[in-house]
Amino acid sequence: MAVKGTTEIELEMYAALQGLMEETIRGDFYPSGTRPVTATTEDAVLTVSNAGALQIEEGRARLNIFVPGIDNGGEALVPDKGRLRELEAIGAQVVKTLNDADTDYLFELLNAPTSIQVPGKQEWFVNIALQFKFLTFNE
Amino acid sequence: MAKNKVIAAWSKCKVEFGFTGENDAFAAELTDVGYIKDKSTELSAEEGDALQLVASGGEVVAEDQNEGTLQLVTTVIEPSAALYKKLGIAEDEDQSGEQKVKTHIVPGDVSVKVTPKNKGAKGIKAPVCRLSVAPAFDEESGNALILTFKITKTTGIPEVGGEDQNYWYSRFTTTAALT
Repeated sequence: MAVKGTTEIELEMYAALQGLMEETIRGDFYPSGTRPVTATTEDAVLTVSNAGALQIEEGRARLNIFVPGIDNGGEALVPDKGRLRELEAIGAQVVKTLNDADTDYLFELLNAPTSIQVPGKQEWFVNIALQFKFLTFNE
Repeated sequence: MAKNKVIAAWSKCKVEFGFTGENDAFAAELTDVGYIKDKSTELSAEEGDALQLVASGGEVVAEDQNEGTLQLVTTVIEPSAALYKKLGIAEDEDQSGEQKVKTHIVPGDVSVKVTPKNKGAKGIKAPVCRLSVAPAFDEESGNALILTFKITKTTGIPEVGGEDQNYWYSRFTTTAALT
């Protein structure tokens, strides 16, 4: 085997996480760049942002889970803190699911899961940042 | 031709120890050391001395290489009172929660087993080690206990069919993933 491109890694991670995402989120699960820009549902987007080219390939990925804001009677929607907390808590489960899927990879959390507002929208997302290593020499 | 799949022994591991049995048998009962500090477990080797017999004129007429040494080091985070007692370096805590540590050299020979996380990865079992402990504390990480297992080759395993059965350590394949 050889070094893998980010798209291939992303699709392998996507396949590994599909079951967990179906159980966890209320909307759909997308590879990077495929979530409709008009979507307002609770969707997850997986992105592999970079990967090296050494014998043990190292890279980074992120799983963003978008959560619509809620109406608290004010002028603007506010973050659904309860739901964001629930989704932040799945970070360790995401890592375990990925590690259990294929021993050629080693996934770890890069940071603690964090909730961030989408710029210009009344929508927030939970950012689960991951780093990984991949053994390039297995057939 | 497809090569055998390599299962990496990376990431977290479990370290267990127990007291060596008769005839240098691997310990029958093992104790998990507890929470291991991330990336602190390391097996390292030091090459043995090279011996040379040099004749007049500088010609090497004989050469030999001694066996080196092996050691496994791991750091336990916030070690329990039970671990100190099991190591034989302290008694139980008293009623006020105080525990007196009497030595940092673990009496007798111990066996050590290191089990990696991945199913199918290779771990090691060394039946005879000298174990020393070093306590550590700092404001950033809290209490820790650094365990240093100096692995030695067994000497007490009886011969079988005139063949020496003594060994340094064995490698084993894990049958389940650590949770």
